[in-house]
Amino acid sequence: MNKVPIFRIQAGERLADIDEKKLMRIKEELSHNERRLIIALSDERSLKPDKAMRKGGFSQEVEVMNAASWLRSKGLLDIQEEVFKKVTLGRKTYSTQGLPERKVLEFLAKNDGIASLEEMEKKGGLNKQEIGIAIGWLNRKKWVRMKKEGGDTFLVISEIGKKAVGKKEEDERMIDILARKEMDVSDIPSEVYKALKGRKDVISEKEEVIRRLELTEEGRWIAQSGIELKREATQLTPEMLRSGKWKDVEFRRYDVLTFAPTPLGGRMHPLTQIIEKIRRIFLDMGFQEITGNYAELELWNMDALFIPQDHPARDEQDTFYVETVGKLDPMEFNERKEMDPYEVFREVHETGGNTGSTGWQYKWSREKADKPILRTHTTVNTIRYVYDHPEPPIKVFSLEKVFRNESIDATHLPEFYQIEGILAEEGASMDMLVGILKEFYRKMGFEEIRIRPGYFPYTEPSLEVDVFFKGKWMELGGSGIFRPEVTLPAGVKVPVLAWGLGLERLAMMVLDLKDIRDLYISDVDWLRNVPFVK
Amino acid sequence: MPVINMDITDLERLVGEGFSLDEFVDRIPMIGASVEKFEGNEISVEFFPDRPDLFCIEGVARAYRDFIGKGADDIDERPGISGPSDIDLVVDPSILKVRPFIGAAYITGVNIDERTLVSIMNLQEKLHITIGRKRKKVAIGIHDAGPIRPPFRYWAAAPDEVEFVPLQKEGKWNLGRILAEHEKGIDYAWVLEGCHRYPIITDSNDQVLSFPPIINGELTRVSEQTRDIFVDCTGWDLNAITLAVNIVCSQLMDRGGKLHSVKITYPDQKGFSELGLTSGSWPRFEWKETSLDLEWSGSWLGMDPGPEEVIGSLSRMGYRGAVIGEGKVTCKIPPWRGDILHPADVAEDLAIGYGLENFAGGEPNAYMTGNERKLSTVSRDLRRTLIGLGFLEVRTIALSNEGSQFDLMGREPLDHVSITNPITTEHTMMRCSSIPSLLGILKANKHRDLPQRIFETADIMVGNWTHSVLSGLSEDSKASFTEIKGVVQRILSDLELDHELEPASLGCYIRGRSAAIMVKGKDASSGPFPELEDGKRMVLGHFGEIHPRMITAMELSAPVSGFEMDLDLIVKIITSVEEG
Repeated sequence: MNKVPIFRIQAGERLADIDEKKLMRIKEELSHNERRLIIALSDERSLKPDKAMRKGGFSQEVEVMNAASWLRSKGLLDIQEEVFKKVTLGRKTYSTQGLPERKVLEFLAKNDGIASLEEMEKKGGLNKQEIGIAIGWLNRKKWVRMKKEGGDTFLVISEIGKKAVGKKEEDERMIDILARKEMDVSDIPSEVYKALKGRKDVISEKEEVIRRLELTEEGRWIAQSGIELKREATQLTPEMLRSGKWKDVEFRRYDVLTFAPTPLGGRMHPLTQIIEKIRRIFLDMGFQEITGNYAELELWNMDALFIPQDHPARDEQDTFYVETVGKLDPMEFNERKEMDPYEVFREVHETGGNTGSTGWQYKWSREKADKPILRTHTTVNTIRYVYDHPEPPIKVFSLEKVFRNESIDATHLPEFYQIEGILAEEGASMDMLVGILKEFYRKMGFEEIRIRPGYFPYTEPSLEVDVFFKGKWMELGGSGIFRPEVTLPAGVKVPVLAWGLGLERLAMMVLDLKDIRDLYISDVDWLRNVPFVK
Repeated sequence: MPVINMDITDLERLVGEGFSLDEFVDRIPMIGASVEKFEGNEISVEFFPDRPDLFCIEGVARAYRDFIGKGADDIDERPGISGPSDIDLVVDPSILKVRPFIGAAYITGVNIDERTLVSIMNLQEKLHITIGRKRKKVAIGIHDAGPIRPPFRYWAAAPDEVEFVPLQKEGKWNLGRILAEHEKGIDYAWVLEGCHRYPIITDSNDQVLSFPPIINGELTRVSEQTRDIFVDCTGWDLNAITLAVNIVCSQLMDRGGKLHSVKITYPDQKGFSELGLTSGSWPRFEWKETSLDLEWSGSWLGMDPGPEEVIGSLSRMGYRGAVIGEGKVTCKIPPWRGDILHPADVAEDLAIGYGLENFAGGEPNAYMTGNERKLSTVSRDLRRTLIGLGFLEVRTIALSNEGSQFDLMGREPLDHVSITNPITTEHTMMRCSSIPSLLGILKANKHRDLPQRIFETADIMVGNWTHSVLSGLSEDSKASFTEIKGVVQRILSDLELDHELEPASLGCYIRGRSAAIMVKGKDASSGPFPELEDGKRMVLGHFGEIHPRMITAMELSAPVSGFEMDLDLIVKIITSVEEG
């Protein structure tokens, strides 16, 4: 059973050279305990583990069994197993005080052969539960009959009962035996066993496995070839290194499959891993990183992007309006300070200015534009950069947070990262944008992308990017060419290609998260154990 | 964004012969949509807000027919006005300050079944929300023309001057009551805020058609028996009204209706003419001509299709009568399209009609080298240091509240950016320190094994400006000043920063167990730790043992030590050292 034979040999037959080599190699690698066990078994047909323990000088049986299972896996030893079902007495009182029905019978015998249930409880020393059990068995053994009189129930001893008084029956005798020793099921008459087993708590059973260890032919071959026992060391110590004693010892072999705790080291947050990966992609593609301030005026965040002032995207509900320390200077971050942004954006909104557009044809409000907000997209970083650097080529990106007035739940956060890049150069076109998107997403690991029409108020054409992920198309980003109404006022004459995507959505996809909060209110155990982002 | 639910049988009927559902699901995203779901006989598709003409099944079927090449190319077969009706609508001077813009149309012979009825109502509702800006800018009324007699009058009535049975109610209600008690009145009363008289449309027998933008009368309720329809559309924006009327008319024409014009007469008054409101025929269902410079669009899009491909592409997007000449394509824009402001819009349609999948993708030509922000480089280096010290990187959000930032921290309020329209008490300002956020992470993980060492390269705002800081906390039964000082020393020595330590008193630390990190020099802009500034040196950061008041407030059970450092300043110092 469970043996892994390498090959069988007849006693006395020489093994083929190649097989001997293999066995010699196995022998070389035997552990100290394995060697001891082979030696202990070498002159025995088989041994039980406890005998092998004593003979081999082991201190615990478990050492023997460990060595035995290693030897078995190497085909040197068989472990024979035989299962016995052992029976012991469940509750000792059944032996000392007798079974409940016996107690009742003896009480009845002393009480003129009759007693009411009440009497039995009061005088017989039996509790209600015992009486209940007793009645069932009294009936079954036909020791009593029941009689009702005046609302009381009486038990009257029967003829069979009378004979049983003072004389233990087979089941009771068995209980006495079991009180002294455990027995094998096969040694108990089956009727008695059935009766005892049918009662609650009378007997308990357990299985006992008797093992015998026996060397296989291969094991014997190794034993006969002679086995050397070196002293075994558990730990390599500085002392051993100094003295050179390490040369004279055998190191105890470890079970390499034994549990070892994984250290809880410092680790990088998965979002950072993704950010770093994407920053690398932009840098590889020759882009420069830009930044901006969280507090912005609607003027730059919205009006500069030709988003009409009554556009739903400018709805108070979606935007965090803020109170700043004094009025924000719209040109604070700009290098080129000479422009009047209010005049520039008013004109393009109202009439299109000289952009070839009709504009939105409404009365533009400076007051609305002057409202301070938390930026709703990083496109505000981009557009500010474009106003400062209108000369192509332009290749910049930003990886920063934006804000939307939402409460936190499984799919919403009030602040999240936007990944955004723009490119402007002579000859830039939608076709070039498609090429850049393919390259960018390919570098992110999405070989297959689908580009379809989209809508953003400040790009035309606007494109949606879908990636093929885990068998289906998933929306993952937007893109487009900035409208002339956005770029011409900045003095940019060439098309400005732009694209962006949400970091957290990407993170949820690649980390297979259902709850976005895991990223920002993280369980440290998750952070300690989440695998690298691929 | 608007999601349109469509009955597949109805869609099949509207698109006509050869309709294939698989093809529809495959192709409709390429017009500009995403299929949300389809279940049983219904398909839900999301469209973009710039295409309100696609907010109904009829419009989707119309655009789709064109897109797959089933549309009538013939310019004469395009939908239009069949002829004038004898309906007059007279605008009364009283309406001038209330809601002066009105458009109208008359459609006869519409086939209305239960599905069409639902579609008409849904389109109206979607137009109200989107281009109507919740009925402020545009509100549409659709009426069974059977029971009413022209001429109609659009005027402003006093709240108790007129009574009628509003939709879904019994008995006559006056305007004031409708505004105060009717569900729609309650929802949209804000649109008429400040008005003492309310808009009303009545017929020649003084029967009420509508109380725009609130509710129509029960009298003109459209039912499956309705055949002839009168459309009114009021508001504050002529372009939006024109577009809304055209979209509704197109829908009804797709259901077999014939479009007739209505004569609208405005008072000959300066107030009206100043708003651009003049008498004339409605609807303004015009196929406006536009032209596109093909050289410009070719370079903008990066493609060079032949003349036939240009004409075919535009036709697939619903344009009619495209002609090429002198390097330009001239064509007519469908009256239901309101999103064509610039040749770039036509160019986009040209690309969509051509098929975005047909763009192979070109490569940029300009050579440029990649450059990250110095902050990114320094953050990466410091992240490595802290991870090496066993700190776990966390990320927290920058929105916070005064309680965490000032009360908990034991800090006098700093100049900060506060939210004026918060929706939770949790997020009322931008944080001035990330230490409360890191404590929040420890709190959320109080059932997890200690030690917990966490850090963040965090964003905070002090004054109006965004600052980057590096902060960390160590929670452990052995967390101490010595431990965190060691961590800070490691960072400072990795960066080779000359600095001076001195005792600091900050409310977030135990008194006598915190230090400030000072650096020689003067910075023009103020940093994130104004309490520690001495006017002579710059403050790089602080560290110490966190005050037990904060530890217990966060329900933590072990001591915590922590630090916070100004990353922007670190970057400035390193940069100035590198530049000599």
